[in-house]
Amino acid sequence: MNVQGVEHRLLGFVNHLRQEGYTIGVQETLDTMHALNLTALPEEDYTRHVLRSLTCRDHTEWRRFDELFRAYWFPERPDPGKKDTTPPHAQRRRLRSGGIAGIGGSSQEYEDTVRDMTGILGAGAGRQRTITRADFRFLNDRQAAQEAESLAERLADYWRRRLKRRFLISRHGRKIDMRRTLRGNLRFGGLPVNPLYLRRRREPPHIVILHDVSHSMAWNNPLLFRFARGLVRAFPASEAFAFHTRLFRVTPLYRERSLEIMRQRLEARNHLWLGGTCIADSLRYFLDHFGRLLLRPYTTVIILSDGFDTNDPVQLGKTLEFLKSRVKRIVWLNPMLGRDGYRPDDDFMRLVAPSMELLAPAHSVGALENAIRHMATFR
Amino acid sequence: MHNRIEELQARLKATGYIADRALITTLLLMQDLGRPLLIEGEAGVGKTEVAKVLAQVNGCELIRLQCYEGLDSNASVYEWNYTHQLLSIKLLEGSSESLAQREAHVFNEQYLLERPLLRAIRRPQSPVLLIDEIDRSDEAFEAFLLELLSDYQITIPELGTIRAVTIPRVVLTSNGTRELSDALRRRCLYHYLDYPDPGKELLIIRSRIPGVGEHLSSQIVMFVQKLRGTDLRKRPGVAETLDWTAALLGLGVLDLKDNAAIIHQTRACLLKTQDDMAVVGKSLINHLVEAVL
Repeated sequence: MNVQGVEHRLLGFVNHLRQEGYTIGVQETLDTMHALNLTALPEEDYTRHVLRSLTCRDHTEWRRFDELFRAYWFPERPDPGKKDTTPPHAQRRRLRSGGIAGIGGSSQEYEDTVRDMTGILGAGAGRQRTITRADFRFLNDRQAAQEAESLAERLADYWRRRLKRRFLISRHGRKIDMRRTLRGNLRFGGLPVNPLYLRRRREPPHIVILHDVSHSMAWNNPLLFRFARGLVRAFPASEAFAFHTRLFRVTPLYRERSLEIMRQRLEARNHLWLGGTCIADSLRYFLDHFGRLLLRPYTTVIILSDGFDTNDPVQLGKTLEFLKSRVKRIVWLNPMLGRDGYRPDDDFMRLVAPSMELLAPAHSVGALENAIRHMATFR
Repeated sequence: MHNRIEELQARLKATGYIADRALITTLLLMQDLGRPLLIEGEAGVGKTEVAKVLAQVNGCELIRLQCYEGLDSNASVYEWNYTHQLLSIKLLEGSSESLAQREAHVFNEQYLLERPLLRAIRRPQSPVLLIDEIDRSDEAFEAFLLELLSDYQITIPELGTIRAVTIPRVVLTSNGTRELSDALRRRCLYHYLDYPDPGKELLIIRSRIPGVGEHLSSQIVMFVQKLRGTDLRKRPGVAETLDWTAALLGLGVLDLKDNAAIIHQTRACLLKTQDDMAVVGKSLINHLVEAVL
């Protein structure tokens, strides 16, 4: 590989990485050029190692790098690790069509009911209040739906602002740290001229979002998309995954500035709104492939799903119980809760609900706001 | 470049550290570009060792800063020796020196206590500065580090800005207990140290514990590799493998076959939580031993 001849391709690769969500500055690009020019004929492995060390910022990027490198520089070469990552049992289910049975009944049946229903914006209250309270299914007015989506996205920011406010108040301090005060004021002969306070240490939560994008969620997803996107953008350390019969990482897409581009890419890549849902399989796949990397004892896992699952409830209960042992808490936001005529079935409440710290409705902006307010009180 | 990689690899091997070409390339890059290196990976995979052997092969000093919650500049950069300053002020009380002269006398290098970061940039020969477990420190300290890592200088209000005499080789390690800032990551080269593959782990064991036989070391490596594949809260790292190997050698074990009881008794060398101890019971041990044999 002759670097002099492929400089423009190197820049192209850097741009390609940027589009994939890598943060690469000008200095890193220059360093890359410099490092590769140190040797007249850099080998493939050497080039890969240099580029990887200079462009990756964390383990997630590190793991994706080799595949991106191969795809860009050697597109004709078959990917040795390439295989359908869908668990075999999930693949079988994906091929199947028709009725989806599971927790809470049949999603197909429910959707037929939903389609028969009609709704308009509530009357009498202020527009903002109406939008906040209205079930998203009934926001037929395009503008109202967009406003609701926008509100949902901004809601996530509430959690962040609330954390910041707490931080500022505690910074002034109520409790003097005697040891540090004495130590820090030795320059004044021990007189406490500059008292030092104990402040409550509070870091932004580490959030992992598991977002159901199956067919049964199509009605709710514009709202929940914006909500999830708001969370991912408000908390830089958060991660997002979408799932239906298989699970895929969508964090870079949710961080995309343009909402339209985000939707297009998501739909192009991941076949949204198709087929049923294998929640238990998807969670197991998440645990096996991303759990050790992403889950921490202080992680909050937020599941956005209507709970319609083709897997066995016992399997889902066990998987969630295991997930709970790995994280601080699990929150399930269900757009079906809070709607008339819906009640989680007994199996769900018996097997799944005990693993939840919060099981809350997510059918409207108001419901999401309540959930966020509750989550902001978590310690 | 090929020669340089092999040469450094051989030098590291001579000190007992087995490194792959990816890590060697990153270490050379660190040297050529003068940039700090951030190493992440699970506990026990040899992150800290990288800094130690780097100091060893370069024949330079290793300066270590162990991070913890509440670490501040007094413990990491410098501190004035207040007791001596107060004594000095007392002694100067009767002298005819002006106030400015007295102040200059009190705030000079004689009363400056160097802490690891300041010490690292004032050494005539470039040392290796190990900032261990940076994720345990506060965000404020991390922000403070940015000045040091980008410009290699430290500002002391009473003395001014102190620039590095030589650029230290900086190695930061993190276990990922909290997210590091993008600003810090951007200033560093990045390397993720994963658990070693069987071949590499075998080389590590044989190089660190020369007394272990080929047969036993192969069995140990296969056993540990398979154990890592089970659902443990905390998977054993290389350090744990070495401890366990030493324990088995000490107990006179030459073969894992028919020694399930000893494996069970010594599993504490590999496992670190009560949950994992419960998971790795006699039946799982028998199963793993059978798989190894």
